[in-house]
Amino acid sequence: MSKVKKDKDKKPKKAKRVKVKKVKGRYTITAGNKTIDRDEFHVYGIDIKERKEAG
Amino acid sequence: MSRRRAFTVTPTGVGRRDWSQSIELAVQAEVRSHEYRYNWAVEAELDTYAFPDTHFVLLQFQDEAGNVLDYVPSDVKYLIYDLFMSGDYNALTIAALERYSYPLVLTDPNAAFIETIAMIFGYGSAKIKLTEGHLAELGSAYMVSLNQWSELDEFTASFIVHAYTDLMVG
Repeated sequence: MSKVKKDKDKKPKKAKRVKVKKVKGRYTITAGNKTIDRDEFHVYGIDIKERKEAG
Repeated sequence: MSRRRAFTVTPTGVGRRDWSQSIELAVQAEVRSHEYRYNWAVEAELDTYAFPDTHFVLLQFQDEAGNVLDYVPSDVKYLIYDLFMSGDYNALTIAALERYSYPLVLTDPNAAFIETIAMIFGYGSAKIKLTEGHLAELGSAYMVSLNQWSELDEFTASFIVHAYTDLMVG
């Protein structure tokens, strides 16, 4: 019984980190009067604490 | 006691002649003009991760031939000088500029991490201003963070990065 109650009280889980993901959005590079536009690009999921130990 | 040594400074790059012989530091303009600006802007709706997980996006660079690359080309210089990150909630927000070796390890981007150029936290937005700029190192990949740690499942984030370049951009 207590287990069921515990599950109800739990906060909804945040999205789990995905290492590389293609997302829809706007990626624009402006170089002088030239513009490069992308509506899809890659997003990397990085743990910034884990990363400190690397390199 | 230190002794001052006379040495010859070899003129490099484009700009005025360097008459700084016999002094320790010589300043030589690497980028020809502030007229050549190179800006990146990104806007996307993303999943909210739990701290310390963060979204990062690669900066893309152009070479002289106009190819768009995921790393800094050898024939063009880029001087990155500021970065502004904002989101649609008043939540903890990160702005970070980091250097990675190229190619990145797609299954583990941390494996290619080299250094953090700057990292600033704010609420709703965060801004990095590099007073002397950061001259992008050739062959390296650069990533900027794009994250807000809010209670909601999704958020809309955007960033803009400004740089000077010697690329003839018209």
